[in-house]
Amino acid sequence: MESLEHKNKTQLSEKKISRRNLLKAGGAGVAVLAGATTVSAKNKSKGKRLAMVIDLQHCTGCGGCAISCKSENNVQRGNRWAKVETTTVGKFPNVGFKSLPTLCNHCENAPCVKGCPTKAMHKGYGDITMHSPEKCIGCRTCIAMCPYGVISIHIQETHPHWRSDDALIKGCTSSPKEMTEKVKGNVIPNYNPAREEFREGSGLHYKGIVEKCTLCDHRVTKGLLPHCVISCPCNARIMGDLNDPDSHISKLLVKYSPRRLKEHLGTEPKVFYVREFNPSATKSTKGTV
Amino acid sequence: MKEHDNKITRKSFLKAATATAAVAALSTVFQPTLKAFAQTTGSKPKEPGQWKSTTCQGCTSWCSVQVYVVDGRAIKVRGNPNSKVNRGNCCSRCHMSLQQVYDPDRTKTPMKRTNPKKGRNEDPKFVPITWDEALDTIADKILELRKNKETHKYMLMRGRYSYMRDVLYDRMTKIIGSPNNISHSAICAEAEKFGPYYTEGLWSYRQYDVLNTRYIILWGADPLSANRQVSYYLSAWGDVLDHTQVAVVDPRFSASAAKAGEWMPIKPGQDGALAVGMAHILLTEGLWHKEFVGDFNDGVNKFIPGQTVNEEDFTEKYTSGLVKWWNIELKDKTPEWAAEKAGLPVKQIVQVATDFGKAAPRAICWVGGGPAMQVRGGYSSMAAHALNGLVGSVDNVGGTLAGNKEYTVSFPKPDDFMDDIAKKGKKHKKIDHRGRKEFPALKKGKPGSAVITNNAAEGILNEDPNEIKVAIAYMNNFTFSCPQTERWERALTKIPFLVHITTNASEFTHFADIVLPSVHHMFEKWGYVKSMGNGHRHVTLLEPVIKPVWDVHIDETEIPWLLAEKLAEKGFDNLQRHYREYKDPETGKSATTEKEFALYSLKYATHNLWDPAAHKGGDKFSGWEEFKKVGVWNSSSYPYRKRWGKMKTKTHKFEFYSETLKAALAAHAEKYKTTVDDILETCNYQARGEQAFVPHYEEPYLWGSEKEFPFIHVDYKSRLNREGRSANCPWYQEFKDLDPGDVAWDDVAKLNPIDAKKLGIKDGDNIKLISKTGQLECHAKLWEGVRPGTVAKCYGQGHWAYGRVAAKEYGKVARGGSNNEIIPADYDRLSGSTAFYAVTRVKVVKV
Amino acid sequence: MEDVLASICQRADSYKFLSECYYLPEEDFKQKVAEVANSNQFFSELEACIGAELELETLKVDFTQLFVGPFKLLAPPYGSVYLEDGQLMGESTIDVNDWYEKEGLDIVISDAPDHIAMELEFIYCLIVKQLEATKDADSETIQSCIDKQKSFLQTHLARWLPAFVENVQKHAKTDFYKKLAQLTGVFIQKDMDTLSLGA
Repeated sequence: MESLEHKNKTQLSEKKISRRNLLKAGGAGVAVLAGATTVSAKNKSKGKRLAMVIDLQHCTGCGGCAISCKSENNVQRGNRWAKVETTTVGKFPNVGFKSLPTLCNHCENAPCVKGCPTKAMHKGYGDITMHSPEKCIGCRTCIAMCPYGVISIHIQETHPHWRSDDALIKGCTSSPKEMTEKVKGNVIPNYNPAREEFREGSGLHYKGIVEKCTLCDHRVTKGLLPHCVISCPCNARIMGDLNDPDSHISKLLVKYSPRRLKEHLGTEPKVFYVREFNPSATKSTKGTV
Repeated sequence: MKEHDNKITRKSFLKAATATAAVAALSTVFQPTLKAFAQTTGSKPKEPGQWKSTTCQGCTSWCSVQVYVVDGRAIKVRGNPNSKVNRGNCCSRCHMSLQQVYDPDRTKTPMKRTNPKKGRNEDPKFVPITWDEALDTIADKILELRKNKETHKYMLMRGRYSYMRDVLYDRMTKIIGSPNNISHSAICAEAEKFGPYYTEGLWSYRQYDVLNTRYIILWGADPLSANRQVSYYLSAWGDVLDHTQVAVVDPRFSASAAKAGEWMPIKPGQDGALAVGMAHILLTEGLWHKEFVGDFNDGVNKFIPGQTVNEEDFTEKYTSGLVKWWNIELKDKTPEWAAEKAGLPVKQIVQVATDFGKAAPRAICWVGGGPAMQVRGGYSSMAAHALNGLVGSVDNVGGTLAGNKEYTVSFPKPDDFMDDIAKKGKKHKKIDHRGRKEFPALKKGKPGSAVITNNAAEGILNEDPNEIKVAIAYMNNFTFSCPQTERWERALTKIPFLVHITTNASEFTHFADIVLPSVHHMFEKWGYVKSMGNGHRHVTLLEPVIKPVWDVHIDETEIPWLLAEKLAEKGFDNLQRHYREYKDPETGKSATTEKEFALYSLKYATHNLWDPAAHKGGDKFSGWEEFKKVGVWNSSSYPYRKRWGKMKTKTHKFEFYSETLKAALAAHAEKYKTTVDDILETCNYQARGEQAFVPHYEEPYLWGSEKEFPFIHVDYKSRLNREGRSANCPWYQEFKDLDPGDVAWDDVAKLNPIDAKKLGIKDGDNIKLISKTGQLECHAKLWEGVRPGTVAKCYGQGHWAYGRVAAKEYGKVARGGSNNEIIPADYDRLSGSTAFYAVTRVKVVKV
Repeated sequence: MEDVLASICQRADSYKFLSECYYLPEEDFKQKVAEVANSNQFFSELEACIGAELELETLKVDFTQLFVGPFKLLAPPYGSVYLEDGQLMGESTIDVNDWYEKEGLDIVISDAPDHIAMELEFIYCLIVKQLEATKDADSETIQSCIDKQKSFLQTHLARWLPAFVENVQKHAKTDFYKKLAQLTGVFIQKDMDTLSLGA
């Protein structure tokens, strides 16, 4: 325990978390979660099955979900854990534009979990598809197996833009490194420590491993909603437990005809879409031949 | 279970265990105190850190928000659940404030220019200096003006403000003795206020009762992306669509159009035609709202196309001048006529107008900046807004509403602190020429009372009415945000001493002699602003929620105080004595430091909101501390129809024939001993005679011939623009494709594929947009959501300064193209507003 | 009354002692263990396991390999591993955390709530509350404390302890930890019986 207390006192920003360090660490600062004896089997029968319903009539394509996720999870430039896919259809003036918010589907039949050789990708609390950074060897099998393109890999040191030392106007404006150090962030100034406090190595990630949405497991396990759900100003994202017939999403899934992405692949995604992005009424008519 | 203090300490353990000896041995070996736990008394918060209240000024929705602060760092943001306006929601642009406050390119110290030459290609060669040296220099310059009795050569330029603005913008300028406090309002959407004022006496933006309405027509407004009260409308829109039909009048397919029933891709500048065409339909179809407007005495509809009507045949209720309007303007404006002008199908115009009328009075004409900020836009604003009068939705359930009453107060008057030099200096004419014959600027009916921001550059350049020798500008960037930008570059070069108070070294800063680093308004400032939505008004506090990152001061309060101190040290203490009048309502004390002043002045202005003894309405607080914590005051709910028959117009009614405008124009004409017609001609309007007093159609006025410049430029605002300040945020660039048709990490001009094909242009090609007054370079994007004959390009990029992300090469190469390089400097002279829309013709060439 | 207090104290002390033993041993650890072993009959067998010839370093290494890592934990000291098929931070962990919160206890060390040291110390806390209530003759609270101890043991610690003990005995290199585990198991079992009998 002494080793863990020591870790508590160490400034997060002082620690250089590299995969090598983590494995070598021995007693000092080793993640609590390193080296579980066995991987948990999927718990379908007991516990929660957390899922999300996205109400497209409420969604306005504003991107609050996608952007706020980056702020909550310290996601680096170029990676998106949550996205808004857009399509333009039709020809002027009969044009349509649709926004579709996407994220990891936390599939019940997750191909990424099946493919992971070290069980770094595994099913966890509430049937969330979780990732243990310290077990990841960066083989990218998960990326290849995932049909939704929601997993990214860090080829280089994370947040390279924030590690730079150069100022725009020397002596007068700041630099990324200086700004971070001054406000005592960890690599990025607005670094959110809640992730790292929950699971070591998941605050910023490090070179050579993958990352993806974990349904804000650091919040959800405390009874808090994921950040994207809270941040959506349109109330378009609704969380719930599929195993609870009284939950709001269970009711929504009965009331509307939910769709899921790439249903035919049998991944059993747990992100459901209901209603239409543009629900405007059409005139009553029988049409023509 | 009985609750008692369960503090387990060695003492309590032993106390509990006294009377037995058996305890002794074991309990002395290991501490009875807990090792793994600590006892708490309250409920443990589920997250470490704290949510602190403040306000977001990313756009002028001015949402009340909260920032999550851990160890003095801002980590994330959310809407303030205490606001009845934005109701705990914040839009997507709010999150970028985190990248702004921690922007590595922020100015962290005062700087001075060492290269005396100024120009876009001149490196200022800034060096850091102390605050003391900076303030000293500025004070000396001001005193020099006083000494030479030319205080009117002092100018204050105002950009992003809070309602602490008068401390610096108004009081300091007056006490120094200058008329030249120039605000940015005319480059915002002032002309949007013109229509509502000259019809219902409301020189203001509006809020819309969307949850109770049945039909909305958005005129050049995109509430799901941009002003005003984006967060509220985002949160309500999903429910609104359950019971409301939406039609969007916009040459480009906007985010709001993506969720609307009808997209009316109007030809730019023809909003007035569509509006009067719809008015014609509402009247000929008998769809006006009888309860508000009144009716024909015999109940028979005599509005027949082409035929005049006798005024005596109609009795109006809460409106005035309906029949006059019909006779002067509407009778010939048939749907066919409107369709031809607007470039829209007749069927669609008739359908929309009819459905709109049938939904009366729960039918809203939502007039945005689009129709208004044009060369003759005041009248389009009036025409589109007048439709609300016809359907009776003004001040009504499901209609267009004003702002609820709030109880903030103005700061103490400066008069007693203005000496003779100041009084004389202030009497000079303003540098922006408001009130001149060609600039009526009829704010609230008073000629010469609206600012003409972009024209100040002309005044400076021509030393007309005088040169400007000393200028202070804060949180603005006219060398980017004003059309025909290069005029500002020349104007700023001319000013011998320019101070810029700013967070980032922008294009404007490039011309400054002294730079003062400003606080970030959302995280480091004391202030307040007001906003409205959801049938309420809120007054929301800006609060310093983190310790300022750098050696910054608050632009509107701390800096003027520090300057006042300097001036007093050097013998001119009027300003400081004036600021001492702003006493803390709780203690009656005057400020002794700039920090105290920032706080006291805020408490002073908001006194009636937080002091239970001074409570006048709306939310009640136990005192300042509670108000600070909650962060926002809400008004009571909306008093529908209270203004019916009590409007601030000449007739006290909703004017279709504006006696109010008539009087204002007459007053202006009188000043120049001429006729209203002469004024209208001078100001480039087509109306003559009676037509000038009713909402009517004016042909759009565009720069450049159709032959040489075949495309009309359509400017619009991004859902990620934090005014012009988010281009340096990586998230802005990463998520730019959230704007329909736009591309991440790029600045594209969108062309309809038919037009692009004719020009041989493909997706991604380098192109130039060339107008009569300038040009810009960017990439092309082919997109169906663009009206053929137009080029749609978003505002906000094209920075060549500001930061490493905003510019491709700071100080040298821009990222993208700035719209204001091609837009000419022209105005809607009746309101003083800058024209951004339907004013620029361009040609598109492949590079 | 005195006898009652004494026996409650002894229970409390035992739990506290056991809890302390599942932290990384420090300089004075051996000495402290010896003292306790000498004064409490139940733990007397530990004395033989911590003779002078046993180096502190050896103990530390054994402790680390059993309970810390870095690779496979030989005897994971976490409830959820045994209750939820090898899972860490599972639902049982959340439940344990809820127990602590309900008693107004914040975790101040950096580890999972269902670590054996914490669960043992938790029982200790409950017993101290019981002690206070006994002094105050607050029979309602006394009963409530006893019920909670019983319930917590039944739903958590006592459920997974046998498997844990087995792991330690199989993998521990030092006699100390083998014996400690064995005694922990026996102690908890006995305590459960005592609680069930309503004593």
